Amino acid sequence: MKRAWQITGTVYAIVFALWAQQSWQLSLTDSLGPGPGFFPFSLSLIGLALSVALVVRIGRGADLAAEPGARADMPVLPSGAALGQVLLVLGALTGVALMLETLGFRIVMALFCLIVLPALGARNWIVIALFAAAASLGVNALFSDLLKVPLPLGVFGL
Amino acid sequence: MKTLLAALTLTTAGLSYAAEFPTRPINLMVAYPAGGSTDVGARILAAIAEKTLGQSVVVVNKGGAGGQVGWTELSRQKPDGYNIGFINLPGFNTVILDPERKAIFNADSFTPIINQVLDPGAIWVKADSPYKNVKDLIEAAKKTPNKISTVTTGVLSDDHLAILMVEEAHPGALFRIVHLEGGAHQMTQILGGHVEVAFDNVGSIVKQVRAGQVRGLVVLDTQRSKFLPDVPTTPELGMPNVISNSTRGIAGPKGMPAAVVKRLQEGFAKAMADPEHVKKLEDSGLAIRVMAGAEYDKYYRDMHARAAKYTEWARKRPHK
Amino acid sequence: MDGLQLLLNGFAAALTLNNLVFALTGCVLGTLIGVLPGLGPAAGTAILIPLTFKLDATAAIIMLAAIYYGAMYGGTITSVLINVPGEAASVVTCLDGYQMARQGRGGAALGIAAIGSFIGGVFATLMLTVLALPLAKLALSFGPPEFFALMLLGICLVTGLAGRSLLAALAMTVFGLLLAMIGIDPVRGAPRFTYGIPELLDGVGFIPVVMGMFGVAEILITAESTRHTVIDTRLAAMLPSRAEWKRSAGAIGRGTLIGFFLGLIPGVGAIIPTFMAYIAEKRLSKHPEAFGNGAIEGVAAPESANNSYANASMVPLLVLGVPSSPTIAVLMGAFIINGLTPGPLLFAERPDLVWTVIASFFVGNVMLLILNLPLVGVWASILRLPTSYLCAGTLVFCIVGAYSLKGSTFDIAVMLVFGLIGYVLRKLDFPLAPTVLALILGPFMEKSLRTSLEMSGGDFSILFTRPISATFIAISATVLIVSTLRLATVRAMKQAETL
Repeated sequence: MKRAWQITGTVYAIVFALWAQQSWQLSLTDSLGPGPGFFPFSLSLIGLALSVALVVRIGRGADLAAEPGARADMPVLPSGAALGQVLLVLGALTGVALMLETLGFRIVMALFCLIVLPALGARNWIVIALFAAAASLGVNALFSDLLKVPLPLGVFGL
Repeated sequence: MKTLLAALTLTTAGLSYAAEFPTRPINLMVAYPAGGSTDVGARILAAIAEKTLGQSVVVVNKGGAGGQVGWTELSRQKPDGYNIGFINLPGFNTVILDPERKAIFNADSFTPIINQVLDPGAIWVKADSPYKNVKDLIEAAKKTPNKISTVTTGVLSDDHLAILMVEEAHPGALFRIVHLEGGAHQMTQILGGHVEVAFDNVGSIVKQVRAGQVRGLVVLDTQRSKFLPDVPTTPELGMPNVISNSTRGIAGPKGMPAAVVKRLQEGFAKAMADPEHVKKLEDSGLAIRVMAGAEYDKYYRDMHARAAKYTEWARKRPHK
Repeated sequence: MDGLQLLLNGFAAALTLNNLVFALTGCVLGTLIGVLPGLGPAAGTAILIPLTFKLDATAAIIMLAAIYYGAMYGGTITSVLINVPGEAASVVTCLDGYQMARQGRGGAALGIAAIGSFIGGVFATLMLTVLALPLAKLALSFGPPEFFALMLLGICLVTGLAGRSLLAALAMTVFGLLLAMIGIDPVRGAPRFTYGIPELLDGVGFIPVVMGMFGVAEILITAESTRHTVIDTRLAAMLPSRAEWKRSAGAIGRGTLIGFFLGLIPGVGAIIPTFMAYIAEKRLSKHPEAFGNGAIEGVAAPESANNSYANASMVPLLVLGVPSSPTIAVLMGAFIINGLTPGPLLFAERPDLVWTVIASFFVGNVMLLILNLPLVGVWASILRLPTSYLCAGTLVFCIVGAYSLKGSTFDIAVMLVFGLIGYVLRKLDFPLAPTVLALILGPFMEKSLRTSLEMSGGDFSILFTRPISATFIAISATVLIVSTLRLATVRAMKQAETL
């Protein structure tokens, strides 16, 4: 836990430092007073200071967990089956983001349900199929036809 | 060859597409927060256009950076006719022409459709303000340069340009210019006493003048406004060159099929001619000026050319 | 007594069977809109405007106002059931409402939300009736420095959500503020931090980020467990217990007041009163650690504040003609079309119509309560679905919601990225609410500060010389100092214990 906190704090510090550098390139002042870069720059510096202070405090042993002590030595990231499930869900979401407009709403949502439901623990394939149908065909009908909010059709026109 | 194919597909698709257009609600964007004069005019038009176009017309507010946020979004929409918006000339033009704004769009990024309102500029103050007329204001501005907080509806908007024109006509008079976001914001700030003077358009103040809450000092037009008959014009007060107004019309992103544009023009023109539309706009103090087709295109181009001159001049000024 | 007579006439007009039916229809439609993703109250209300064309002015406005209230409650339903807020105003309800649902007390959460909303709404309408004009004056007292100071106060109060580490909470807040600056510079118009990605010109959308950090992250955490669980919801748990009622009473009262006064000020978004009411309750509570883990006051306070705010924000509309939010702007459009020009002349020219509208706000609030209380059981029963279906359903909901904002898969990608970020940070006990609050307030804060500096000619002291903004800044500083001291004391005590 402590290690993870330190890594996060350092990542934050790097992000803020980069952000400060980018803000520096925007004009800090202009004819109307503070320019576009002024506030991002100041904020990035404050953020940098905060994250460095955070890393230092963790190094000195501050315990920052919500339940003190209880999770000090628990691994942060899951492993084994749990990790697999999380990755499946993430992968399915990525797939949706990439393929939604290419394959169309109905196909993609049906596939999504078929992947995610078992990943989350569902086992009854009949119910899964019904759910997938409702999520793809039902939701599409609700939005496209009833509410007139267009959902992507994809190359197959579905 | 590719472009020819694309053009053919677009046209045939466009033709069959336009035959049914519109089949779902249309988003009509206003580049300022809700409550200002552009917004009120848009909402009245939208409600009536629902009947003439056969589909809901939903007004969406996207304010920010004097309209640039909204117009940036508009330029990026699909040109299918379902996402159109109001453009305010010349504020729209100055955004394009000012290199510091780094606008990602230019005059060719849009398809002008039809114009609705031509609203003359006006200078106004709270009813109990010490400035009873323009003369008082100019004298005060000369005595205490850079102190009188004067608000606009956005950087290099027609209001901002008007302030600069007044300053030029009266050397030594300098205002402290503050840029707010739209007419409604101006109204709350003036009424709340946080700022002293506002440069805006007639349509924003008619109701409040009638209610006795604000005082119009001058109208920046060649003739008196029928909505504010007691307010003098700039030529009457010795400033014949200080003429300013804001033209509000509807445009879409470039590349809209001609048939769709035509359908929108018909629908909106009919709505604008509707007596209810005319009456409601008059009640709100908005002067209707319908322009469509070649007339609007020409106006659009002319305004752009004129704005180029103004923008150059504004940027060269030592005091902005 | 003139006002009272007019109000009674207004009630007579509003309570006709016809108008009651419209109020009910409006509440139903509004709740459905609030529940559905991607259809914000503004768009939903706007789409329903044509329905009102066939109606007379009174009926049309009654229905639209009812849709507005209904939509706010609909947003609460999704916050409690699946940790996805329907709109900015419901974000805070997620914090404790969802936890209550997980403990099987979802019904109680929804119930207290309905009652709190009712009380908040009725109080605000009463005050509106009696004091509309003087209150409008109050509304005008906020200039850019006051707005900035108010939002700064909101940000500092966020330390109340700090958990155990003030540094972490502040870092998250700064992160949120920086995220808010992605897009077009609000004064100059030049793009910032967009790196040529056109979708970023509109900024990192608040809704995809929240759906990601709250909804998706929660589901990723759930995905870790291999059990296929069902949340235990007994019928008795549907209603708040006596103890919970007692605790909520104060919360409802305070939330209503906070929401009311902030609702009077045009331009204050709904999220500020809800956050402030929540933090106020947490600070005043004898068990602050219960907040974030299913404390019923954590639902009662923001919900009352929310509805009180919604009703109070009619004041700037009716008296000044300035709408406070997109949905109110839609209502304003409806008013204008139906011959009511909101603004200073309204009360003078058409008092009959105005009082009917005000009476219908009362009716709308009552209608909402009558409609929603019985349905609490129905909504809560959704929680009895197996976790896997509930989560999958939530994901579908979020995907559609994110996509339908702008018809772009980019928003789905944003949601995904922030879902991942939220997941990791949650596991490390970094608080997420400060980032969300900062993301929403960031643009307004920057704009207000820069406008304030334009007003003062570049002088920062304008913030300290105006009474209201100076007060807010003083309170902000106090809050930060007190929080630091409090956490330092707690740490010192813990260390003393271990010695």
